[in-house]
Amino acid sequence: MTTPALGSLRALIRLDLRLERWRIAAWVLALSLTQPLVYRSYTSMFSSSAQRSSLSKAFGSSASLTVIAGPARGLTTIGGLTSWKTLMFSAVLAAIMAITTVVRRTRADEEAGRTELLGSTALSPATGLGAGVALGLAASLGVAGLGALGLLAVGSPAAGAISLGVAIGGAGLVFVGVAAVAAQVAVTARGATSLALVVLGAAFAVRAVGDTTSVHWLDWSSPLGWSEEVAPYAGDHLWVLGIFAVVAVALCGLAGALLRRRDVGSGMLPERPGPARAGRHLTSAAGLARRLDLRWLVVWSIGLTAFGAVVGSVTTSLVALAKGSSVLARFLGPGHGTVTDLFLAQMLGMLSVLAAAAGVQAVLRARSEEQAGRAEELLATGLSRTRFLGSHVVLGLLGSAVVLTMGGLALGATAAASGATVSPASLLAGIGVQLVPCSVLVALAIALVGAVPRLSVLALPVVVGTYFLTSFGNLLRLPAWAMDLSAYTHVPTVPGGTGDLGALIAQAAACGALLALGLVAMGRRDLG
Amino acid sequence: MESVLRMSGVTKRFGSTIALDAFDLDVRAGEIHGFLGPNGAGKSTALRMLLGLLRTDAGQVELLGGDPWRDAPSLHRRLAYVPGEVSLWPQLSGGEIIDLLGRLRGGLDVARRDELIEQFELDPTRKARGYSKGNRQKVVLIAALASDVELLLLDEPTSGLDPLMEALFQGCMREERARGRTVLLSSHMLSEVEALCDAVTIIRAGKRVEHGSLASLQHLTSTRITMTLTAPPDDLASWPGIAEVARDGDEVSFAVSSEELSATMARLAPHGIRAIASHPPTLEELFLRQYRR
Repeated sequence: MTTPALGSLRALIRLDLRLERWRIAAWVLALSLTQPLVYRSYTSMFSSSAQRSSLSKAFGSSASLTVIAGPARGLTTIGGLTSWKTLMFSAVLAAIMAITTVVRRTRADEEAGRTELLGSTALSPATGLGAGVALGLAASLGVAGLGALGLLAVGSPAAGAISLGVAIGGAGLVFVGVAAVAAQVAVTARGATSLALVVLGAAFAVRAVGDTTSVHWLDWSSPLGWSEEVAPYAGDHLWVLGIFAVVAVALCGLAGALLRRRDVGSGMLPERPGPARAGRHLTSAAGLARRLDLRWLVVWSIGLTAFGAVVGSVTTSLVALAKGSSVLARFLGPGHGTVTDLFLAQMLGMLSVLAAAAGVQAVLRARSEEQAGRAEELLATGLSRTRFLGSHVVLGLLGSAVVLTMGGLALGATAAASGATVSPASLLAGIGVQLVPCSVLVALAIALVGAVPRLSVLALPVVVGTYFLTSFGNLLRLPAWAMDLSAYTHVPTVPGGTGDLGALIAQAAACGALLALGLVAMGRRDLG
Repeated sequence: MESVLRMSGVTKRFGSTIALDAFDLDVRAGEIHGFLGPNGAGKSTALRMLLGLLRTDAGQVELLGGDPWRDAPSLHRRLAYVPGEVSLWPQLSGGEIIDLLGRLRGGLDVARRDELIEQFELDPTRKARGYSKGNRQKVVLIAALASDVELLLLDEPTSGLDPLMEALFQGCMREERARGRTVLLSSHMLSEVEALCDAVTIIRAGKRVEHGSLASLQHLTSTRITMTLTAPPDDLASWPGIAEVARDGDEVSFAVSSEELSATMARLAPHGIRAIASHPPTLEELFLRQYRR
């Protein structure tokens, strides 16, 4: 028997699924494949238990790693290592998946007026919320279930596999509820997302304090702390799933209650008014670009500085470890410098790809402005196309350079503080070298936006692919032709001091050519 | 009078669809030029071409004595544009956007800006994401009207405005004309065009199908009348301002120009009017007539 309400809920879930299927599939696959892949590679990497216990000692004592990854538990097993490496990272990503999915299908629809359209049909307001929540819950359960199945397939013990799946998917469940409430409280999708992300950030910070100080009970007041308390491969407390479920249901119920108390289109938080006049900085295309993107570049800078600082602080312990591990040596790639130098060069490369992502994001703003029709309004004024694109180009290239430099300096500083020998000159040279491939990636995005705007969606996937090649290529023993696809394969290893300066110059030239192509082509094509 | 903008034989294809097909447009200095056409006729494409946002496949475009594709930025300082679909930066306030667009155009008259904000009852401190369609149009319209420019290109600028604001807009347009500015006004609303425009161009399927001064297009603004008369006149078709006469027994129907309406009524009264129905031609009707040709 189907009541009309259930029928319309089903229809709406089908609609949401139709709109989100590729996005959700990508999230669920990425989140559930990570743990099995890591498990398998660790099985070959750390086959001896002596290796694992030295690793356990090195990692377990590092406070900064505990902040990022949670307490090191059961690192003497492959499962424990896998869990420690992936749990916190994946749980945070599962929460972000849940937040974006729910907000997109609830508040974003409402903001765009689509909810109003649906509300005029025979749907109750709660149906839209219910469908969005159902989609988020299903995706989280998918991450848990598929992740556990994947781990079983690569030979993990069953209890640990299920626990790790639950720990990651459970965070998703709770943040479906958090996002559902945030979508009732804030008026805009952006506001709802920010609110839910603030809760996520607070959850992360609370458990980090709980893990590193003696106030362990704090772990129990954070959803991410619950993920840790599942303790996969180190106790397997599956009953924590009950907490995830109860809290998720309670939050969704609260969201439903709030929904019934408000008008369509309104929220609980008032929107702050803006200035009636434009300030002095908002006088040019460059000023507008800065207004739109500077805050994101600041966020990237903080993120990469923190990343650099944490990685730098474990330099000495990792280097000590690498001397006895052929796999780690393989990870660092070929080179003649000291292991410390090779490690720093490798990390600078990673920071550089991430910085390129920041720059590409700033450049792609030009394309999204064009698609939204706002570029048309700007270009109908005295603004030339070259200046329009140029304002985003400058921000993208300079922004990624600043982001990389901050991350690199933080890396060098904490590495030196941890007792490694770091020469400031070679560190700066290393940052300088890495600026080149980073700029090539940004320039590629510029060329796409200017010359073949339809393909500009490829700019970020290229960066992601490059990141994959840079960080896992050597490890997975990928063939040379695959590694050659990445610009980073062709830059000298600095610090370490090997490689071909000619290749670097060629890359700089390619960067200039791509930049010129993008700017010139922008002036010659139809807009829109 | 000299031409402020001129398109001759302009063709534009998007893939296999032809948006403009040897299209002509001629706007003279100091006039308000109405630009009419059904949805998808090519109005916005023509405007975007005048702004140098699209390239022509064939034909010539001349704007303020220059080539809009080649000289876009310098020409754009002398004009202001209001797009049909206004999209604003959601995180900026209305006031910030007005100032930004004005500054990019080379400065705006601050006193005029404040006056317009008050007249149009716009809250400039609201973030753009909170504006309705009408308020978004007001933001761009105020930025355009407060700029010191020679030419206004307006793409259905009143489609989101209420009748009160529409009246205010018409007042502003008359002021602009008095200041010697030229306006190209694309619109759906024949009443607006009749009230404001000196000349009109009608576009259909990318082609210009009708153009000229409003006076010369009087036949477009005739009223259709159906009446039952005791003794219908036989020579009705030859009366001034009368067209399309049809007769069925004692019921006659005809179109009469607005100017001759009152004289026609006076002449018909002695023929014994027993029933009368009149309706002004809608834009739709005009286009239907174009289709029939």
